[in-house]
Amino acid sequence: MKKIIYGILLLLPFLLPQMVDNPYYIQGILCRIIVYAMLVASLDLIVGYIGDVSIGHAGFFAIGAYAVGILTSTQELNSDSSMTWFPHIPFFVALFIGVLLTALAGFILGFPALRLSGPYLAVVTIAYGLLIYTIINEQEYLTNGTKGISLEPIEVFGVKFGGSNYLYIVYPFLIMVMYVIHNLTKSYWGRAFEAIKYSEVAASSCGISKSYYKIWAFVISAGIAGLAGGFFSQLDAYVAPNTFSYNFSVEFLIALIVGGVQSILGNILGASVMVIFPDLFTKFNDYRLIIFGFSLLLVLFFMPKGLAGFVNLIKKRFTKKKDGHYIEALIERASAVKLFDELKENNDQVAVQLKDLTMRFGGLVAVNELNMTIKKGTVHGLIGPNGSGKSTTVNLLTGIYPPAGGKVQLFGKSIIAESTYKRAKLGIARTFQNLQLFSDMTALQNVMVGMHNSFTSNLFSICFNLPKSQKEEKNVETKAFAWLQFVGLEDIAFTEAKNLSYGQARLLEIARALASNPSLLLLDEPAAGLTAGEIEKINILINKIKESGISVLLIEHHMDMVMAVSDEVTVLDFGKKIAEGTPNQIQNNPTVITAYLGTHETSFH
Amino acid sequence: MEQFIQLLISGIAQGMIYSLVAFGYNITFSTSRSFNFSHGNFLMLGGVVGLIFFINNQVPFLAMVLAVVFVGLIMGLILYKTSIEPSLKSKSNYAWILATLAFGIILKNIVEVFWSTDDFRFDSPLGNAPIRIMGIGVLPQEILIIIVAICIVVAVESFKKYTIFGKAIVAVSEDKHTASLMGINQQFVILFSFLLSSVIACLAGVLVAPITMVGATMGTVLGVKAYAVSIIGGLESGYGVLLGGLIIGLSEAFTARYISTGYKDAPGFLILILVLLFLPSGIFGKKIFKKV
Amino acid sequence: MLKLSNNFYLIALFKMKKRIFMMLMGVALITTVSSFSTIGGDPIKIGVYGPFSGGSAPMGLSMRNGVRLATAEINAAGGVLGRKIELVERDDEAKNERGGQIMQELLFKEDVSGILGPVNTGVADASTKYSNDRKVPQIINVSAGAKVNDLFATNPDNYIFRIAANDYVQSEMIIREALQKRKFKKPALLCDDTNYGQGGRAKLESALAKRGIKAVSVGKFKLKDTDMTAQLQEAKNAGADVLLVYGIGPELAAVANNLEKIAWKVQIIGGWTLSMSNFINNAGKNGNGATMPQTFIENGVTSSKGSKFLAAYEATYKEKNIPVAVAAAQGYDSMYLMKMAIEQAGTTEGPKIKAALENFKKGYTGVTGTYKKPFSATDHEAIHEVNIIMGVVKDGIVVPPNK
Repeated sequence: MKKIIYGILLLLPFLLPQMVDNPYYIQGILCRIIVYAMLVASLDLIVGYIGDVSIGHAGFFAIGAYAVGILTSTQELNSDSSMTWFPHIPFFVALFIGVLLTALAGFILGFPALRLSGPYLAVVTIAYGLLIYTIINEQEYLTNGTKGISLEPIEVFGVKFGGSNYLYIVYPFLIMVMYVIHNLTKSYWGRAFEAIKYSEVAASSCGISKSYYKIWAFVISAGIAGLAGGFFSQLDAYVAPNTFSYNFSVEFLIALIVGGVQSILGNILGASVMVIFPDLFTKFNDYRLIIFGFSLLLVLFFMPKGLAGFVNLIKKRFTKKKDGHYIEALIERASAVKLFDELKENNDQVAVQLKDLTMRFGGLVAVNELNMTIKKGTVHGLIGPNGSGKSTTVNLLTGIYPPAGGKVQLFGKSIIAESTYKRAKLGIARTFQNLQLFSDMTALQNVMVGMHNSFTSNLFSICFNLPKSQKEEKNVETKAFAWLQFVGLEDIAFTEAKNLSYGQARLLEIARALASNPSLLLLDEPAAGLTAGEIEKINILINKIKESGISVLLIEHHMDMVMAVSDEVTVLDFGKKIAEGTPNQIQNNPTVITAYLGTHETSFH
Repeated sequence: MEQFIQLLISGIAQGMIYSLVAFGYNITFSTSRSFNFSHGNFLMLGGVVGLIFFINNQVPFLAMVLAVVFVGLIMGLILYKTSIEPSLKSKSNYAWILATLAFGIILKNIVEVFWSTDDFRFDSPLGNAPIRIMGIGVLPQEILIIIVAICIVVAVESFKKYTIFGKAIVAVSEDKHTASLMGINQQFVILFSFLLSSVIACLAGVLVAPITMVGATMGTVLGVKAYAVSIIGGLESGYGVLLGGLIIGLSEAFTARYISTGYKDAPGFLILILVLLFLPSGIFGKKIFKKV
Repeated sequence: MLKLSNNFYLIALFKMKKRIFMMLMGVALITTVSSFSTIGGDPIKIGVYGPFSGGSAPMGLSMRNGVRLATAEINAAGGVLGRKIELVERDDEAKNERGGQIMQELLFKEDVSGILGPVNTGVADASTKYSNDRKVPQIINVSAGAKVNDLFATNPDNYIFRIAANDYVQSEMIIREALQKRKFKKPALLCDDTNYGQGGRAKLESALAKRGIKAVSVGKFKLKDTDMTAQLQEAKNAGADVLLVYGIGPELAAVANNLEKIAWKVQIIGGWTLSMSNFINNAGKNGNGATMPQTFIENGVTSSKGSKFLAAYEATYKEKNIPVAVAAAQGYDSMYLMKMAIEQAGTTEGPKIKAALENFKKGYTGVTGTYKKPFSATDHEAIHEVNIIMGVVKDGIVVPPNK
């Protein structure tokens, strides 16, 4: 029922050109909003989902607009111009070429985006936009320079789409763009974007390649911006470079934030504000922009999540959370899930081997020629006073730091050259001492990010929500729910991670790590800050994990716990291994006792 | 050779103008991870106030400077209270961008509506005639700009290094949490940095006015270029700003002369992208190891 | 902690909702009241658009003042066809895409009978097609580069007119002044990188080519550039003996000032914009001698119409020197041309006004000159070389050449 209503609402605008006999409202306002909404949506992919600020989208927009301008225009319309090349090809072919070119430009911008963030990336986007602008401005023989290009209206099968009927061309594309973005951002791709935005380290530890997803995000975003640009060129049938200035990018950033990020509604609202406000405010004449500025500040104060955030807030008051049926079905399906997959057959009895591993920070030697072996299917404790190099060891194992020297082997294979996300794929999972949950996602979604590598749907089937990807999404959701049941968090499955208690968050991190089906699990102080009862729960969990055949490296300050669950313990002090052996041997080792006596961190009972 | 030196000096002077503006971004970024996206409009306001007092009403130069400082303080305070403080509280990554942009729109249009949309001449108190040394012309104002830019950077950097309050600023920039544990009032440090930044912007407005003329749009382009300058040098380094200014200023002058006037801005931005590809925190930026 | 702040925000929000509601009510009230006030006299609506904010605003505002002045006079004298003229003013912010949107609003929502403006060439090129589609006459009163007669080629039923020295006329006169009258041999071009500047550059180059001469150097600068050392050095090195410039006031002033810096004394000749007060004032003594084609010279007014206009302008807007006198004068005349065409047509129907404009019966003596038949069916340019005099900057004012 709901779907039918939405469907009718979606189709309604098609009737408008018949009903409203005024091109100002249809072509002047509505078509403009549609074109701008596409651009805002493309910007949202970068700003809202990836979390980088782009002030260069005018550049992408310009490439799309100019591709269509150059490829479809004619000599007659541009008499007295410097242009010499008029291929005069059909609009949609030109549009397609424009989108490809823009996507390529997005690909190029993706690379700086890998290394930069915040204001540093923002300035690169500005530079990028200005370079595109300069090239368009200067290559007169191709673009007619500042004088701009006049275009003829689109003609499809003899029908000209120059007035109100332009809506028939742009509106279907808006629906398509929004549908694709909706599907994309709700899929594992969208979760990967969100994960990268919140914590690159945690994302890569879940097996997400930052480079891959970020560059794709820029390519998709740029492509959509190019599409919007292509349509823009037809709005006034004229393009000139001065449109695509720095200010244009800034205006769209404003539109996006005012509308509200990560929201299709927000994108459309933001674009509408941009198109309608100037006309609406003409009553204020020269004071118009002052009032516009004040309204922006007001929106910011009272609707920090933009207009769409405000709308959602009201909507939330009238709608319930997840309905019961959904959860019941989920529980039902989850009961049939087998959690621990068969571990990959490994004849090697050694899970991890560290040889002479060394790490320096400036002059400080954090880890000094460490040799350590974690046997397959055991729990290996790693202890030591604060600053002894335990967490650094974990970071070396997962590839977050490049070691200064030494070797790391996983089941007999050197993994020293592999990056963090590849190591995650090879079977290393971890939790974090400082919690690194994706705080705006629900507990369930967090676990689903952990299962990132079990997704196989390709981009196309995701964008159009094909049955294959629907089914896969459902299966993963079920299994993620089963993981939550495993750690005892099924009741808070739909709670956002930022609203969890400390103990719940620790358990969720373990669930997320386990969900990636690892052969080696690194637990970095899983009991820190927990109560005795909660620690007991974790002990039981660790034993269950061990039973399933997963090797565990446990870093902990709670000696009771380490001694209770470990098969073997390594002690570090100032980055050097000072002792190794069974829990019993360690407790009686005089060197260990001396090392610990200096601190009040921990005491043996 | 003579032309080369002439270009060199023009480039340096233009670069120092950028540095002067860029420095305002650095000061607030290091304390609050945000800056005033409408910094150029603050510069414009300084120029306009200076013009009204000094040129139109013949107020003595020093009194005019005081008035400009006062306006800078007031505007800094209003900016902080209306835009920065609420944005930082809202924990949104973009709120401060929107807030400062909105503030700039208001400021610029107030000046346009209540003052003028035109550009006006601002006679340098040092005279408008260029000083000529072996055929090379330098405006006295250009020399002043170079000196003042260097002095302000050195002064603020030494202030940060050698005074207790300056050290507090550095502490907040490095670790907010620990700094507040040490009893440093973080809010005040941020407020102070915004006041300082807007006062410097307003003074810069007066300083560059004889070169750029005074008008409601005088700060727009400067603001963007200065942003690039502050990033090239590294947002957290004061001296980096001077280097960044030189890079952009000189690349513009020499490109315009020897490559093409149309592509004047391009090499500067290419250098920017290249620098950031290899040094993601700018030339003097610190490399940060993320602690996990 | 987080919860608390969330709640706080909610409470604040609902408190604010009331306030926002009140504000919205206020806005709605203002809107309805002001729309009521327009009903009653059934006035003739004329759209005016141009940049009223931003860098080009001085031109737009002066133009608008000129139009307003003429409108006030016309209305005081009883209006047209017994109806008052109502101006519908829109700020295009010098943005092309705003120009397009505004034109659609003016033509289809406000249903104006005629349009005056704009200033910027790009804005004009993005928006004039709407006037043609709607068959509403538009008189461009500032933009020199916009396509007017060129439009006949693709659109024989052309509704676009102009009362401003177009680039063909300007460039021809500039070149004639430089080469024939002053006998310079090696011109260097220096133009801004806007639509106006580059359009002018192209026309100057073709006017030179007609005489078999090539510019010794062609330079470019951007809006808000203040350092022109490099461009000027290039021109000087190329051995230029005259500098032909095309840009707007502030940057042209920077050119003049930078000439002094590099100690190069060279004649500047350029577009009408050299008469903008922000060129004259900002260049100071460095601007002396700069020569430009003018349709109206504030300090060279001899006609009674001209002095009346100046007196009225000063009385109304309290500005002693008009920031852009040419734009104001052309704005003023464009309004009168529109009014007289409507009068002659006896109706507000677009095609008839257009026909009246093309076949003026009465002749009009305006501020910028006397027009017996300003337009014809094939020529929509009111200003030709005969209407133009070369003005020279002299100590802060523009004077006719022989003064």
